[in-house]
Amino acid sequence: MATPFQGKLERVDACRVRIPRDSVPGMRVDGMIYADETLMKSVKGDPCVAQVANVATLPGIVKRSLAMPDIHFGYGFCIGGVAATDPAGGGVISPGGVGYDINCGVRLIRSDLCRSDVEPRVRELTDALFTTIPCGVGRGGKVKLKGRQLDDVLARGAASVIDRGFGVPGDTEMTEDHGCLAGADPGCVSDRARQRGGDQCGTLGSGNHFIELQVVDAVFDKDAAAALGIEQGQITVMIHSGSRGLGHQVCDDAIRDLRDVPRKYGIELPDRQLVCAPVHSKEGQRYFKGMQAAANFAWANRQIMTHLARQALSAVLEQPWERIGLHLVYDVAHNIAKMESFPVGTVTKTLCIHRKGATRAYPPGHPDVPPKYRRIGQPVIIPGDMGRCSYVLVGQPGAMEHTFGSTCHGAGRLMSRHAAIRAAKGRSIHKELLSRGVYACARSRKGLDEEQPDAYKDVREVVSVVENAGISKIVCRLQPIGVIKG
Amino acid sequence: MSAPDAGFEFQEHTADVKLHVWGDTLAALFQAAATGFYRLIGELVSTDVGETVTIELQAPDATDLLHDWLAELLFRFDTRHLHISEIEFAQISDAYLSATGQGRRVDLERSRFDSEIKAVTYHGLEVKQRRGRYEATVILDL
Repeated sequence: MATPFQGKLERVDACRVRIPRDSVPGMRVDGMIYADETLMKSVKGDPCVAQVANVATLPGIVKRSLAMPDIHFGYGFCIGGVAATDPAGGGVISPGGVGYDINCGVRLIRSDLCRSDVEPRVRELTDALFTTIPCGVGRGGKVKLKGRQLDDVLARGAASVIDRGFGVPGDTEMTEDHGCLAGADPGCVSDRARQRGGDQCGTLGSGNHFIELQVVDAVFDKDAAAALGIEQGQITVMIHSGSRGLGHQVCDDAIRDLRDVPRKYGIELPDRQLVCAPVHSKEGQRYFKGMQAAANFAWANRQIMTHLARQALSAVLEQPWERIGLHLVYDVAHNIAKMESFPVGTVTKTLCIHRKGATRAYPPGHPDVPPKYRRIGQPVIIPGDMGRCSYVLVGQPGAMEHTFGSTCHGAGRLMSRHAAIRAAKGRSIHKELLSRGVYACARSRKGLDEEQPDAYKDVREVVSVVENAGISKIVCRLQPIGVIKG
Repeated sequence: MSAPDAGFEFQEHTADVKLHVWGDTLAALFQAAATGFYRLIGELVSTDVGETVTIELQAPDATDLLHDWLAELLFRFDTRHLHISEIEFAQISDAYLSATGQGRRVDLERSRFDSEIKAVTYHGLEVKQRRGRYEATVILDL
């Protein structure tokens, strides 16, 4: 079982702490945690630091094992972990480096509405989202996918459901990788995974997943905000969900299937959840292709919910969604493994980038940033807790240099679920949120208690670290006014 | 978090839930794990009369068998909303189990759901025998 980290920790600068390579046997590279003194206090005694060191033992890992400031304890990898492996140098791919909720991610939709347009109708709009978008335990969706239709979603992602009327072609342009990883192979997704996902495409799920109605309450970079179509006082919609039961099963299948694979390739692992296979091996490829299919399912899921959110808001406001300007700003994945190119020494290498609770953050000028945003950098959407705020950032050159084009993904939990429930005893989180100007609809009271604002780190501290470290830049802040939770 | 003789308790974990289970026999351990698993999901109210469900699993050891057992209950819950009770183990060893139970569909309207379980993790999972008692701690990803 996990124990607090006993090895060395060296502060590099105000934003970074190094775990030197010699502090734990088997480390191939240094570990590097992005955290200031305040954030480090909540991290120091936590076993998540040991997880950063464990990841540094993986074969073929390049440069360093990274953790973003929203680091907390995960399985195998910490949450907030980033690791690049070099397939040409025996690098491995690990399902633990992606997590169970493959391509859990977040998207932001803008609008032409301002605060005063919706203020008297926040309840009505939030209720409409709550009744239109299936959420909570066991709630199936309106879209049932079987056989070839499911194969098409697994192969083509968001475009597959757009072809069936859930959105417009322009939506994929504003989605990371156009909402589709081309290497997906539906044949690598088991029957069990298909059965778990069959009626869950277009459903929010539960836990930390949410949809928020928000208001842009501060703009820090007017120029970048304008490029994103965002201004002070504007209403936005944020959707946070992943690949549902299908993705969870793909990960579970892989961990089971890969059980004896490390031994076969002579890989010694400090933790079974780090089970892995060389990227180029047949076992590694099988996971990689299935994981990409699950990632595509997640993009289709968020795409269907986008369509449903547009319908819900349009029905209340009695205007077509196009007239309300409900366009997708961007969609980012935060649990994923992808092949991406980065300079390593004097050459450019194609590496397998694992992001587990971390977001891609490409800088201005990068060819994979949509042309509309290329001048400002790739949008990065950082959900906070439901009482405080969320942020939009853009990628910066430092990310290419130091973090394999990656940044943080959220606030990161601070309290255990039990502690949060204890802290909520005798209180009504629903009423407290109301007094903060947030109307919340939740299927489960316990779920709301567990997700209360105090259960999370202050996202402001997290984003200030990534900005000060030069890996991304804050554009604007979004304040929730309506929340739906499963 | 629960009565001491129930064979399970929930323990602290930052993002997810640790289910600690124990029993005098493997069958009791697996039974306690099932009870704790459903308790974590919520207060489940079942609908109609049950159907007899048979589960047969093979695994390399008791630890994997416990993982696969809970993963199987999760699969049946996630796909068909089945709550399996009155579980009886016809056979159970470190590497094999054969069980039957009554599977009843959960009434989504009348049940109270607390948590959506995404997966049964292998993190720190080990079925141990101590002073004639079986024990394990399972972390469930929420």
